[in-house]
Amino acid sequence: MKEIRKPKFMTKDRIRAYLPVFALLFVIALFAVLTHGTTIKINNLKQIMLQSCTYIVAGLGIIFTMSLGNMDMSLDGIVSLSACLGLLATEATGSWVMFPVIFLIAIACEMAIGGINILLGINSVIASFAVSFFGKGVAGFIIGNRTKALSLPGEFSFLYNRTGFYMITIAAVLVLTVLFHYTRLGKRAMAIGSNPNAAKAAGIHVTKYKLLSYLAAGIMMGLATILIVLRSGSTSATTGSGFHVSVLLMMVIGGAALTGGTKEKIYSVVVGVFIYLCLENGLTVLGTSPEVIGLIEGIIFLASVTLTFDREGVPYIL
Amino acid sequence: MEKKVILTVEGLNKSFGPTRAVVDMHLELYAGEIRGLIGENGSGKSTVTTIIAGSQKPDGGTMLMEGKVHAPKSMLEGREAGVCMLLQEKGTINHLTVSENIYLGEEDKFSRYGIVNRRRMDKEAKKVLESIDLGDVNPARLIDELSFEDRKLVEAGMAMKAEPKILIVDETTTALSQKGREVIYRIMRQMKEQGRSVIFISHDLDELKEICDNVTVMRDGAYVTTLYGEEITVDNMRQNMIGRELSEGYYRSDYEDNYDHETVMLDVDHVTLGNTIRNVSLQVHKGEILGIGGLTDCGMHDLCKVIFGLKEPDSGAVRLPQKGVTIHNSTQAVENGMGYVPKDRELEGLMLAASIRDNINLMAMDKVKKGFLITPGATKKLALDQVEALSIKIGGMELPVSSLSGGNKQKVAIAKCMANDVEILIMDCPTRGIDIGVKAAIYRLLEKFKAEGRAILMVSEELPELLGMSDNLIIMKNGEVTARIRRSVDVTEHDVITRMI
Repeated sequence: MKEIRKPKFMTKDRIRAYLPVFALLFVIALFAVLTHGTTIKINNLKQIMLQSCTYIVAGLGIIFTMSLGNMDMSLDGIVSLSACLGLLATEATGSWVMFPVIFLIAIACEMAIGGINILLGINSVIASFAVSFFGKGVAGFIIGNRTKALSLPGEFSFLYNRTGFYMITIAAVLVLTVLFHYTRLGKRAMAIGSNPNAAKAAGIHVTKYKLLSYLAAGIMMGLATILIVLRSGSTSATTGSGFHVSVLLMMVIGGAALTGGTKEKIYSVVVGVFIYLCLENGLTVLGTSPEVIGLIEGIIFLASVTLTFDREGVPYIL
Repeated sequence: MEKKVILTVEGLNKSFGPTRAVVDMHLELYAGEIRGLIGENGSGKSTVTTIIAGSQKPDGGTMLMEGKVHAPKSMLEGREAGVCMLLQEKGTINHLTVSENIYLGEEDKFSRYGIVNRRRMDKEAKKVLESIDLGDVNPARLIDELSFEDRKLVEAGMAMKAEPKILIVDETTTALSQKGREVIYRIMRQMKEQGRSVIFISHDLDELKEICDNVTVMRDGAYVTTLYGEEITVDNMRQNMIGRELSEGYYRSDYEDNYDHETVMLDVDHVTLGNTIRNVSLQVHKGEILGIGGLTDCGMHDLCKVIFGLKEPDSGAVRLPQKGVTIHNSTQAVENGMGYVPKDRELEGLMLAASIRDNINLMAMDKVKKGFLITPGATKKLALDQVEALSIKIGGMELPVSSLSGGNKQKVAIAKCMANDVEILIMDCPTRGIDIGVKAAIYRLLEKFKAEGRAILMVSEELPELLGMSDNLIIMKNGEVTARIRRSVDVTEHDVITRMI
């Protein structure tokens, strides 16, 4: 047995870790050249930064459940349900009650997914779809029965400002990074994603840490919903629609592993969001049609999954 | 007597990552012989035979079958060339009927215009079943409904149907009852009478002595010797397998009564779990190695899980008298200084794709954290300490555990417990599938843990190590304790086996 070997997965791990950062720099540089500098003008960058806030906050929540190895497709339903009920509560009481309501609904939805997954042993993807459909259905029903639009009262509109959004997002990234990489919560969630049996045999309370992860996801989704509501100023039956797919796509582009486990990284959310937004923005500035943008995104998604998919963690691939 | 050589293997090599499973193996197999292939776990027997059967490709070496180059790329090609293999693990497909399993991939024989004539297939399958004494099984039944033993026999029937020139039987008999064994023996003898050959892998030396014409011994992936006819004795085989005289610095050499009889660390009180564990009581003391032995299904593996809180017993309790707690779940077990090294380390003990550092830190997060933070520096230090203490051979701390050899994987699984400084260590088959060098290292570790005053419960399927290492030995059979044996020079394997079967 040789003492020091340089197996090839060493380099693969490096690729996994650094490729997204290079990809981001490449995308920025590429479009700066192609658009003769339009994409790196301050106003355009500000636009991208502002857009990124909701995606990053939502992605920070999803990374927790994803690290468990549980894919979460419920984001759009949770956003539309909690936004709808939150604004409804504020409308009825004329107060700031929407903020706690949105958090509570989002947390309740995520805990429901976790509960269904743990207690009934149902695959988390299915559970998250069920909750998502439920959320969209209820929200659609409520909004469909109204004659008046459900919108944010004017007194809250001062909360929508760039600096506030940036501060919240940066704070969320910092707090979640610590929580995810430097505390038991994140490490145990990732261990569960790597091998739930080994986690259990190491004394990790799998149920407890799964639920805590869903709790963290719920809080972040509540925060993301609030950002969306503040930004759009109202909610409709289609609020949040497609949001879950975009966020998932961004995370994977940033190098997040769909199978969960100990190699999950917070920065893949941040980097992924920016790669995606810069790419989309650049293509739009170039005048590319939305269909072609979709096609390009699809190809990049496939390439990212190919690079990041953890084959060693999965025994059989058909 | 000049015998006809049917298969020649020359210079065969195979590595898995850093582990060299087969090293320059050579073998000559004669027509019409039953050849035993023996060696310690991890000595490369299974690897050699799977290469011959075609399910793995060698890194180098040549194989000649009846003078022609034999280099099967798949088990199917191997089968066409005339090599069939009965595996240790399950080789049938659930949710299909018995006949569908038997004729898997050969449905064309019974189909017309793309529709399979089931009745005809079942009828043919019946004949195959009769050849293996399973004539009373309805071939239209789902294979899942058959017992494990019957499924194994169906596999044997499937192999025979292909009329192989060489049949490889890989530890199949360990899972079978006497009746099932007889059927397999009969099939092997039948092969021999027809001038065809059998390679028979088994750990049961008495069985080998009775059945085999010649026995080839492997050690650490390499050919050691071949014993012919009269040379096949149990002692001779064992000595060649281990490669030195027994009881020479391999197991513990002391026979003194040297543990703390007053301090009970673990108290298992009349534990019952369904039919698998019946009313088992035991105590492990400070500095004691308590061995538990028996057949695989005697309940000892489940007992480990119950003790560690992974399974809740129907009645009875697991207590830690020094802490004054009763164990209900694994979280509590770990909090109170217990550690568990599972039998199946890949499925239950390790996070294979995760780094060595993450694995070693898995159990010790509460110990490592400062305030509520777990810093990379602390986790790295803990992992380094353990890698050094257990002399784990690694290429780098951040490499996945899957890059390690079986023995080093097991060391990581043990390091995971020691990182949390466990006082009570439950080890289920700690040396399973590990080469002899690492095995000896693990025995030295056990002695060290004992000297440090830890309590060790070691479940094993290998009697020599139980006799060699335990202060006290408990033998189980059908979920019950059938014997309690004190450490002594006089205890022999024979005394123990009679209590197991």
